[in-house]
Amino acid sequence: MSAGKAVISRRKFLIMSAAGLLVACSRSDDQATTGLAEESVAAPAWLPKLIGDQAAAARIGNAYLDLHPGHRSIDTLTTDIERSLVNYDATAVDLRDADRVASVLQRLVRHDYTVADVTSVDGWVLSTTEARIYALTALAL
Amino acid sequence: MFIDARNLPDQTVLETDLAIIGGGVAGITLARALADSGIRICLVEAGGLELDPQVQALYEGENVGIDYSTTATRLRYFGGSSNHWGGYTRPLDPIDFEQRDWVPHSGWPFSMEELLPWYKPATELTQIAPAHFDDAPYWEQETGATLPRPATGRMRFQFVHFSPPTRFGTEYREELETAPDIQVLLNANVTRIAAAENGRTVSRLDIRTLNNLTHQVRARRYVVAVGGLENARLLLLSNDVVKAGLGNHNDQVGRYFMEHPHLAGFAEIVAGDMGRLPKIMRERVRVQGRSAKVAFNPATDFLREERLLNATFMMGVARNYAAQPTPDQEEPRSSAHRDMLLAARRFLSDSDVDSTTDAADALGVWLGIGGSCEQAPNPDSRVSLSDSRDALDLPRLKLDWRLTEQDRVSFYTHMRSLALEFGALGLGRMLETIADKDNWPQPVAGGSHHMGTTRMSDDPTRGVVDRNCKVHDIENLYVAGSSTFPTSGSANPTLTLVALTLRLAQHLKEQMR
Repeated sequence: MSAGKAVISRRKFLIMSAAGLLVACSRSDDQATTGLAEESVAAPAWLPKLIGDQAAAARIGNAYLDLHPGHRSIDTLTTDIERSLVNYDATAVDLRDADRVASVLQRLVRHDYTVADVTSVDGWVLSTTEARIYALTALAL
Repeated sequence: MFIDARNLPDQTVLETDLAIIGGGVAGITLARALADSGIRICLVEAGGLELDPQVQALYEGENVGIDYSTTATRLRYFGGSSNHWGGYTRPLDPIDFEQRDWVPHSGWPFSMEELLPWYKPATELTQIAPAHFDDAPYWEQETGATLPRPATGRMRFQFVHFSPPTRFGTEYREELETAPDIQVLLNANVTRIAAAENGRTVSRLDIRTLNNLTHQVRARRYVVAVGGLENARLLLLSNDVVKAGLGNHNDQVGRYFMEHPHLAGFAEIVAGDMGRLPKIMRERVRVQGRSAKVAFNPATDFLREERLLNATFMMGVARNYAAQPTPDQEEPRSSAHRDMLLAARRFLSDSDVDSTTDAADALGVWLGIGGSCEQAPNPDSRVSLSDSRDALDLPRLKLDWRLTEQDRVSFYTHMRSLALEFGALGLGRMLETIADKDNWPQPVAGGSHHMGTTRMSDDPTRGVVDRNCKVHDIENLYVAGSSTFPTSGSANPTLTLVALTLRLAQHLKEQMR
């Protein structure tokens, strides 16, 4: 599964990029290091912590996916969100800590608005990260 | 003393020092300011003390541009348009006075500093003093609420004050009635400002009443203060000596008509946590007898960087979803609002932990947004004379209000800024409801703010009046009111026109000693 390998490789790169995780990477088990399931159907552990109402978020997420059909992949969305997370605050990224990740994502969403990294979904002006989180909810929860 | 022109003997001639045409905000302000100066004043008002449909009909005009009512947006009786004023009061911003290279025809002959001494007494006249337009710490202290700090660099908060609103004709009537040197001539329509043969001096006002009497007022100096539309019309009507109309040697009278395009229903915001949205941001708050509310304005640096026009946004609660937890079948967007509030609950909270167990009990609110934009000065947006005539057999006003692409782009950019600000503060989410972003949302309404038609400029080829509001090339004729504004900013014009009129009063005092 070359696509799957590519995703895993990208995640490793992201993780290695995050200074705060270099020590953690000395562990051999990717799963333990990232706290993420490599199965493409599994939702990241932090996701439920960010979503107030799954059904409502999924409705918005599906609207986003209709506009961006190429994003209709848990792996793609998870990777995109985590890449944004690392770019935003590498030192804070410990993907095993779902509460921490959720908290940083909460800040990242606000940061998206600050730098006008937004997208339009059915008229809603949404942070790009936030829209992807709703899309991930639609696919994974 | 009040005199009804309809009861004077036909062809009465009144002699005075200063004739003020128009008993609205500017005219009354000017008369009051000069009441103790020793200058004899005749304030000539076209209407009476109450609204009279027959008199009001004289305001009917022809519309050839954006649909606009020339009657509903002004009132032709004593007190003028203050009789339907909403009371929104805020000064212009310093940048509004500047010559901005991205705004054609921008720039006042002076900076805001020049008007500052007059803004304070203007706040007293409009009954909002002491005002705190930019003083967030004051309002935080008085309301006990901490205001969020703008996060995007695009917006800033100011504070609109609300006048009671002051009805100038009611509030100041007794003062004018008892002032020894002031005559108020009611029901007196000025049909012409008559110029001397040289065209450089005004010799008299020709007056006609609706019961067919004609009178004259002769003065040393004259001030036209009949509103932003009628000021231009009256100068254009006064064309017996100067064929293009008084002050119109350079084809400037009537041009540059500006409104504040007022837009509602272009977007909606849902906010999840009322505790983080101080009351003063969503409704008028009364403190020490004064009421005020937050206005969202573009940051000055952002205006410069992005080369935009000014704007003002205000909001109010349209629906409280906490109090109405079930979807409203009559409001199709309520489901979308509720979905967003439910989905984004974590993002609209300051808490790291989602502790809300029953989302429906704490959903949040739908905030309606009103926007008022600066319109760039545009010579093709103009007042001229129509071929049709009114009951006095005078050509009616013809209005061609036009907006530009620059106006529209500025508005949309600021609308997006508002969405970003609410998102960055974690306060809410904006739903843009404009169907066609390539055009102005319809209908475009004005704010009954008529500006620019006798604009101020030191260069006679670029304006009608000079920095002292004197008509270029005419020795004894002045214009008062928002028609002299070279640019409009986005603040309601009343406070600025009062300040400018007080400044004019000082100038006339010095000139007429």
